[in-house]
Amino acid sequence: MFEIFILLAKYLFIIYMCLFLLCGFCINLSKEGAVNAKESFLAAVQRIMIMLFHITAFIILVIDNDEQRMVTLLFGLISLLYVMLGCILLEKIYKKSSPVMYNGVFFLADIGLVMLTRLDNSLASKQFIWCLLGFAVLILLPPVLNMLPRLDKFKVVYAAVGILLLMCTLVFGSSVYGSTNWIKIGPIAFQPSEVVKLLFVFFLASALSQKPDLRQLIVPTIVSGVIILCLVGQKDLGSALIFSMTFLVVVYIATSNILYLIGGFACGSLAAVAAYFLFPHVQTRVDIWLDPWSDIEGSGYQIAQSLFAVGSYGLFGSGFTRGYADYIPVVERDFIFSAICEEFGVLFGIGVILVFVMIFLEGVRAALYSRSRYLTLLSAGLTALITFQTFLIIGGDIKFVPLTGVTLPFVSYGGTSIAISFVIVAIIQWVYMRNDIYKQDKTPEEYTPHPVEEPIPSRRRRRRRSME
Amino acid sequence: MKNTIKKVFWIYTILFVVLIGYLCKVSLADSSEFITNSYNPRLNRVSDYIRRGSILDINGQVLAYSQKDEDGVYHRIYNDSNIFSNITGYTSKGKTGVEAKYNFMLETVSSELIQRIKDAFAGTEVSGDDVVLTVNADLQRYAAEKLGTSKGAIVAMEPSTGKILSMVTYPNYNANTVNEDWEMLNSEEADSPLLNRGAQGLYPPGSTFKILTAAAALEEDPGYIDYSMVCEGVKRFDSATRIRCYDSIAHGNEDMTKAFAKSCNTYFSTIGTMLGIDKLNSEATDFMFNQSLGFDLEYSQSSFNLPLDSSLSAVVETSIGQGKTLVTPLHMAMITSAVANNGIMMKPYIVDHSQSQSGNIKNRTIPEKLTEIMPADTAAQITELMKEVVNSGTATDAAIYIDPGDVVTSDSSTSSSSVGIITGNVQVAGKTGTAENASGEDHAWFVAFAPADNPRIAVSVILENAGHGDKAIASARDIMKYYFTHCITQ
Repeated sequence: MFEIFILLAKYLFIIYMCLFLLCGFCINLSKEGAVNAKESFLAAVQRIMIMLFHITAFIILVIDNDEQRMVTLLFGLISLLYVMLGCILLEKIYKKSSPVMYNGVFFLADIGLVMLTRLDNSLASKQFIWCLLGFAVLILLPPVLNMLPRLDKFKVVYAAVGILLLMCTLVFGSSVYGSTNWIKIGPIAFQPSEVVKLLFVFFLASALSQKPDLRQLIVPTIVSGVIILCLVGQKDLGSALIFSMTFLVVVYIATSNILYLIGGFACGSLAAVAAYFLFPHVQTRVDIWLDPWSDIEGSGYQIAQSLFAVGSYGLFGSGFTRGYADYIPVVERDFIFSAICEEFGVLFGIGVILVFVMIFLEGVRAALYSRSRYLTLLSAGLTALITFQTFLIIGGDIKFVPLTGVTLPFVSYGGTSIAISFVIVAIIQWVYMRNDIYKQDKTPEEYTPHPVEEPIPSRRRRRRRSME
Repeated sequence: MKNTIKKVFWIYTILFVVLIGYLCKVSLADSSEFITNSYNPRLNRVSDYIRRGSILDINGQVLAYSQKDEDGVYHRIYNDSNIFSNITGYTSKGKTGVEAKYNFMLETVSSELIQRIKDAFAGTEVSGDDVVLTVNADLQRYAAEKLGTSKGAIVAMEPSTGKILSMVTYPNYNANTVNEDWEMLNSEEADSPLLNRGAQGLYPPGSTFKILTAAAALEEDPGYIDYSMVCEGVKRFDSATRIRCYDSIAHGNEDMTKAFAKSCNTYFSTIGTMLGIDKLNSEATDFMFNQSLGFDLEYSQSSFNLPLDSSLSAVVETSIGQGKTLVTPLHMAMITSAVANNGIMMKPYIVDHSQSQSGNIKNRTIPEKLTEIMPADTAAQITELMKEVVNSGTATDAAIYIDPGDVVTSDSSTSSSSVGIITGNVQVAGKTGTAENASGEDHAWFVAFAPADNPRIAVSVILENAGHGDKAIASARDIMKYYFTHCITQ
């Protein structure tokens, strides 16, 4: 009977995912004014889907785990409480926030927790601590940010601290999975490059908060170049790519000049080609990407195992806990997406990608309607960063792009990554909340006719306020 | 600025759409190519909850099936395993053969959800899909009998489709007792019974390679068919290079037809030197040497190695199949089939379809062209050459006569009305070969197809250390005859 339940659950998981996305889609349509739907109701349905997903998955996990049944059950209940309270409380506390974004983040975090419990109970409980911390960040960060009004004045600090952190890693860092991007202080190990992500976007947003001309771009470009070179020096190619892409996007948005984007891409491509010929480890990465099969016992093993996981069981997957995810090296970190595709099915995997797209969309909204250039650049930069990271690791898992060992935000195991991802969401939500255009009581027509190119003139904004 | 953000939004959206498209492509289209890789641990998946599907021959004879023992644990049982194990493979020490490559089908339950809920309540056994081979079990048994205890292999295929009708190998093993026999099977004395010589054994092609040399010449100029020279039994090309015909017999004045029929070494080595290294290389590439054949089971790639700076003696030896060239019996059967099939080489396959327990046919293999190894005109000329081998050359023993009374018709269909039935004199086209072997007696080759004007079967026989090819010729002849009398019944 248990087998039948696993089989049935295969389809249930996909149904939950579809309904979750459908609600997200409707909310987006209503925000664009296409339909009139109640956002709070749809968000509640989304939360029910997360809850059902969690319960279904943990029923399987509890039955399947003979040795630690009670522990798993307990963990399942506590994490259910966390996920549910998490998104409900946040929506209640921050009425102007985007509940879809919270739901998406908690759904992804829950998928990560479920998958980690299936792989290794102890990993899941460590991850859970970090998720709790992430929740605290989501609650506490917005008021803290409100108290620090002149965040755009510290660009020198951001740059200096960021470069210093990376330099320290270069000198004192320890090597994990081929990249020297960890610092260990006693029992605590963390990835400075994750922290520098934040500093980097803060730096770019403040440096470019006045519309820059070519000369004013020189200093930010040099600082970014130094940071990216540090990352290349640590052999952390994934982060180097993410930073480069974020730099290009922020500069493009700040200048609205397509030439910078094209020129940046050209330079980036040249740099990539140069790196291919200069660094043997870049060459290895690219060679594995082009043909993992010829050295399947050695360097191609990981990606081949990942492809087996994605390809073997098709759209509906092997059934939860019935896959072979343990065979992929570092599955809990780099290849969690492949494991999800194997056991929940490729359709569910596509759903996970769409949840990321949904979060991305909310980030774009935050940037689009924000009040100042600085906030626009900040939220756009953070959104671009986390989205590109998602693209890079999922693309790497399925051999669409060369594999770079970055984490899948919210899902992959990894303390620093989880914490920083939550901080990023907290900041984007903070920006979102400051855009007071969206309010529960407004009809869709009222949000559309605001000016697109110029920032909203302050007088008009004041009048809008007084009307309320 | 807002417009720029929108543009960035679209760029990212396109990125993700392409990503999802690629994910679908990997999992739906590309996956069939790589998931049967032996490094995929999922190939060893055996569910305790469902009965693994059976492996059947083309007529439904059961070759492998699973049965529950008293303890409720499923066991795999193989019928006539020594004869079929090179195809079915085994399941006890990892998986091989069809058991490995078609594990997914054997473990897949059709219409699973509804059927399984019903079955769960009814308490019926849930069973994976059966895999139906292209192999004819009767022909396989007959071929195994013909091979007997001679080391070697026999491969029979249908030229027009690439279906493997039979593939036997010796020494062989019993898949039921692989666990118990493991040490013995891997011992030196056993002589690699786990090796499927039909698809994995690499042998020098000997004179069967003259098919390639002749085809290369005729492609360049069909007039080569009339090229004549005098064979004195021995020919000296330069101080280091001398070639002898079999037993140094002088064949006298001969054109290509006679030289091919008598398998004259001096004639074809001369042709080889006239064609040159480039032409031989490009012909070998056309014939799929050094390339993947796309066969489902484990196989070896045939190798042809004649670098541009090769010595004259290398060219001379290579053009009569004595150089560094190595070929598998499967590849030789494919080449013979391609000659029979107007020069078109079909992709060989061994699984015809899978079927659910309720009889629904799924995953039927569609015959697929692999490549054209020679133009149809050349194939027709080679067929004429190969007919002469049987009519007046080195393989006169291969001639087949079928008495209408010998034809065994199955079930109700009456023999007289069946157009497909072959009786009387059947024209066979073939080529003998003797592969010199550094260690011990020569290997004997014979490749053939019949009927020459409407080929139904192609056979490739290799007998290790069998010297000259009488037994190889007789085996091929009998197998083809058996196929016409016992297997073609409509």
